[in-house]
Amino acid sequence: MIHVGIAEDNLFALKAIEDKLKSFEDLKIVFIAKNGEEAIAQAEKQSCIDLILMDIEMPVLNGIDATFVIKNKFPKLKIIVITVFDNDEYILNAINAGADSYILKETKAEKMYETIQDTLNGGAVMSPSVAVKALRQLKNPLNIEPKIVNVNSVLSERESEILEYLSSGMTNKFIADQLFISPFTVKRHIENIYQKLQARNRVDLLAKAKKNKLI
Amino acid sequence: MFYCAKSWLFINDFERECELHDQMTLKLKLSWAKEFVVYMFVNILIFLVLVLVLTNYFNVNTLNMDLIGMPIFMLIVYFLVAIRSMMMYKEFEYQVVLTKFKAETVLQEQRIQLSRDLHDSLGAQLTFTSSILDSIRNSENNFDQSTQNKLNKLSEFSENSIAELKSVLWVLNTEKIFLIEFKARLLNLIKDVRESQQHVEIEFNFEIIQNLPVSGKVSVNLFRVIQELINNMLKHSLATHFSINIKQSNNLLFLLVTDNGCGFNWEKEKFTSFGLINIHNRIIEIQGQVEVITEENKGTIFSIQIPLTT
Repeated sequence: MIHVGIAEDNLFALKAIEDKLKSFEDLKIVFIAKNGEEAIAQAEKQSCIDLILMDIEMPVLNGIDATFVIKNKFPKLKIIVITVFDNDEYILNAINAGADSYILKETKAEKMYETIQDTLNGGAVMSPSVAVKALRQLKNPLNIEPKIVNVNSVLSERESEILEYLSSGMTNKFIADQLFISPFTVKRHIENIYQKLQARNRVDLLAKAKKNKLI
Repeated sequence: MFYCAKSWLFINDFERECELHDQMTLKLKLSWAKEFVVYMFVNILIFLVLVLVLTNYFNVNTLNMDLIGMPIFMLIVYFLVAIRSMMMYKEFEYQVVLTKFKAETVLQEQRIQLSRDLHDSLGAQLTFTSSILDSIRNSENNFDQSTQNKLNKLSEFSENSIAELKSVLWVLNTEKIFLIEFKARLLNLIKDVRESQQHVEIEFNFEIIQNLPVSGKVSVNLFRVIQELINNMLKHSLATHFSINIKQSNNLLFLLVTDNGCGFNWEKEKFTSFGLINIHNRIIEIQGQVEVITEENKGTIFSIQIPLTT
């Protein structure tokens, strides 16, 4: 049984998510939060949560900050951010804050379920435009000298290969075939790339969170 | 001096009447007129004071007035005028910048508000509708053929509405987008299609020579044209190979979109097919040109030319 929490302020969006998850019997919704603060409180209160679906734009405390706080306290708890339409900036910020994967609200039920399963198993998704932005961020980190970094010093050879493929719009299946690995291994590598992005931004984000008294 | 006072009052009256008209040029003219009246008034005042001072305290007779008084008077006046006009110019500049800035901020705020409202209300509800339709379609209920068709139509339309809304939000949120970013957005679309339609081989090339900015209007129309071309191909052509080649040449984008599908009768369909009309209109709207080469059972070639800056 997978225990899922949902943080979503928009009623229709919430209903749509609930509707989609309902059809899968091994998923159980353990809490619904209306904003980031409630989500943090719930994550602290409930002992048995595997994964939180986190909306980004919420009142009181947005999903990105909430993700950062929750991930700091419970590093093992998986968080998937959800956004109505693809906004790469938001997605990347959420990844930097510690989100494990992301999903669009229009995503079909099966795909949503698949993403949840993959995330719990340590895999993630990445769209070409996010890959392009991630590549740029790895090359030009904000506060790290020297300004232009060789991507290969951060990512493994495999990871940068995959990131290149992803940023040119190739599907996971195609990449897997090219590199003689399984499609899920591609997802694993994506997750690793995300974790490296997070690690690089952690110092900055911690300072910011402390300044805003989030932690 | 009497006339100065009178015209001052007149201008003030006029200004009160025109308070509703918030036009920059009118305001400017009025302030110039006011300045002029004040200037005349001060002029006369200085001259009077000068005459009084010179005749009373320095015992200058009226004949010598012209030799001593006039040059001093003129100097003071020129000096005043110079200072005044300089200040006015600065003030005017400041006002123009401020007004422009204010108007832009208000517009920007309205845009953000509008796009957020659309996103939260319409967007969320459309997604909800679409997901309900999906769950009905996927449920175990057996509908008769016509209900099934209607459901499919509804689902298709709701997804179309989401795509339309996305493009409206795109235009609202983006004043301009650089070609590299535009390419990334196209890649997202291509990847989605590649994932959902594995039986079609999709080739995509986008050669950017210079990373130019493109207006929201051009980019969104172009995006929707490509989306529509893909939809048409998937729905009607039975093609197994589809390719999009985009080349930049200075200010122009050349699109060559081909498939190896069943083709269609362009002359007959171009006024009746909703998708084709849509493609045509969007290209016309951004001052592009389109040429179609197709024949039944011989595939289709769309050749499109779009100016990046209009």
